[in-house]
Amino acid sequence: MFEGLEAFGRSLAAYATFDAVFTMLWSSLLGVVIGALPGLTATMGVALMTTLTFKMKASEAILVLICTYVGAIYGGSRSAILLNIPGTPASAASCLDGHALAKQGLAGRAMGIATSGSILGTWIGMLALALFTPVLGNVALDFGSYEFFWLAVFGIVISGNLTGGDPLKGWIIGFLGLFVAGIGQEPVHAYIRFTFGFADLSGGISLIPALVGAFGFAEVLAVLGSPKQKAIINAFDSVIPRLKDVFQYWRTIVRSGAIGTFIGIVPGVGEDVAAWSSYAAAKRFSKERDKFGKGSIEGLMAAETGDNACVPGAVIPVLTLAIPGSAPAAVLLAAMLIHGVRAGPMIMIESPQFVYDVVAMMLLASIGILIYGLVLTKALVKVLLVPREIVMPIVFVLCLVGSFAIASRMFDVWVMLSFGVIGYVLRQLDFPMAPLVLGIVLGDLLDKNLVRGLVLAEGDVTAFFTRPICIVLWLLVAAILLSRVPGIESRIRSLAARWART
Amino acid sequence: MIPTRQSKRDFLAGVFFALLGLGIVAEAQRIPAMTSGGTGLYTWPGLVPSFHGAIVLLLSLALIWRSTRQGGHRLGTGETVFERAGTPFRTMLVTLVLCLAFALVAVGRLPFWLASFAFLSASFIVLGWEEWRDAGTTRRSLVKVLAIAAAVAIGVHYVFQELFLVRLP
Repeated sequence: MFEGLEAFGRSLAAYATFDAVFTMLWSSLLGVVIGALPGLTATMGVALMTTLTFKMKASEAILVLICTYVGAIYGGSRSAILLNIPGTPASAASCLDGHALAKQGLAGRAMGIATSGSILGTWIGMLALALFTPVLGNVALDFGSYEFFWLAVFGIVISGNLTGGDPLKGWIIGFLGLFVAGIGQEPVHAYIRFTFGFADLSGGISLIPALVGAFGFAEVLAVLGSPKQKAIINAFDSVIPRLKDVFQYWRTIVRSGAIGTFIGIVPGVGEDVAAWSSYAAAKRFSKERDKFGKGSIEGLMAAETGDNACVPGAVIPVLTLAIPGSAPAAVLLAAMLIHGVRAGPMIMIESPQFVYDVVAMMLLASIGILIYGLVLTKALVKVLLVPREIVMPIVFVLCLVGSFAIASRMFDVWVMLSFGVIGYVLRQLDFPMAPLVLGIVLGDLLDKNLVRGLVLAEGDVTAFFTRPICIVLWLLVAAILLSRVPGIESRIRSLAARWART
Repeated sequence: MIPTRQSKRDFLAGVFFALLGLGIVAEAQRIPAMTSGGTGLYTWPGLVPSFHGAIVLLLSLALIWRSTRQGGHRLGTGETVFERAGTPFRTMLVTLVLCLAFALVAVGRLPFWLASFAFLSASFIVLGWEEWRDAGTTRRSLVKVLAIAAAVAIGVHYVFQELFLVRLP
């Protein structure tokens, strides 16, 4: 306990420099602006910043990415409240009550609630990050090939189940992501698979260009291919967060923070599910249930606390298992690899201080959003009014630069373009993107551990089903899959409805 | 039952992904066994792709089955599979063409700042022209967007190449 506090103190001292504070200020600002602009997601922001920070020191680069990530998730609430358009998918739940408050002339108060909820959510998640990462890190040391194989399958199944509306489509796209990750040289015999003689493919498909395409270029096409929405901004009052709101809804804040953090830890689910789950739980336990959707302070507080608590939560499995808890965390994981940070079960043995460095970065990022929550109001309104016909082509230029910069090869630009077009088509067909990303990230892990496990067990597949952690994981996978079989699904629903009535 | 647009789209997507899954499994079978080094068949490089391909195939068959139960296979009945292309769809197509022209033709042939200036100017003008004409602000808007395009092109060059030492295409 005290060792952890001491390590956190050391990390804080290391980041209490002018350079670190300056880096935090500009990267949080960029994050808030990216999040606030509809069409620019946190994933895309973190992916683009990965290329910008390519030449920086690891400690500085990760600080930039975390500040961008936290800032973007918070920034999404601005457009949700002011325009009724979620800046990021994570802010969709905030539209319901945030914009309703804005229409009542209380946009300032709503922004204050979003600021306090986001900061407190980040702190709750941060506390969990500091407390649970060492514990989970120790548990992860017991993970072998069999457990990692099931963890990868579980990640895809749970991500497909919870993101988007149709689990079947989520699973299809998740397993395709796993396949895409296997294109190129395989790990045992160095055999080159599925390249069809195309030499550039033998190194595989890089994650950053694929993500920039799926979340950046596809978004450019989707935004410009949808009807234009008229931006109407109501007059607003003071944006200073009120302590009364925090004290009155402290239970909601703690509950939403816990839900957000937990959903963050679950592989590949992410901030939008965290926000909706926190919102639904707040509504379920609220004494003012009828106000939800009509300008409920509690509803907005729950959504904003939940999505921001998810950010540190999503970083916990990144650090301990090298498995991302959300799409932006997947980019963060890729960035850590680029900068030589070895995330995974050995982190508490090899570089425990880094875990506390990340906690300190989260604290700095929360200070960043407090500052911009208070001062960046009128200027941000002007940014929000920039027409999408101006913003989107600029975004595409950044997508192109972002996909090229990592390896300085045009092949990555082609990957970005391909994933952009595929991503756009898949969105039109209601296929979620998060399982695809998770599949690309987890593909290598699944591939290596399936083969390694089979070699260790000399081809005996029972080894995958008999170890304690494996039993838990495959039972969970089976339960999730079975719960979506039509006959069983309706039976579960009727049982749940009966339970809710009693 | 009259099939919905969604069920038809699901049917077509299911068929596409089922064929893709089947293709992955078939292609994986062409990978040699690699058992000469003494390793068992379980290190076969085609094993994992076969596993993924088979699961994609199974899940896609489930999607086809579900959409067929909703009548999605009757493509000629009820709503059309795709909505009639309206202005936003045309805007998307124009954007796609401009983006592809920029990425595949201009980049690499022109200095990046010039290619991005040309792309941004063309995009701003093409996407905004109608609105400017209706509002009667064509000349003023044109000057404004050219200035923005120049500022962004130079800004991107400066920030990436000079400030953060990132190589541009």
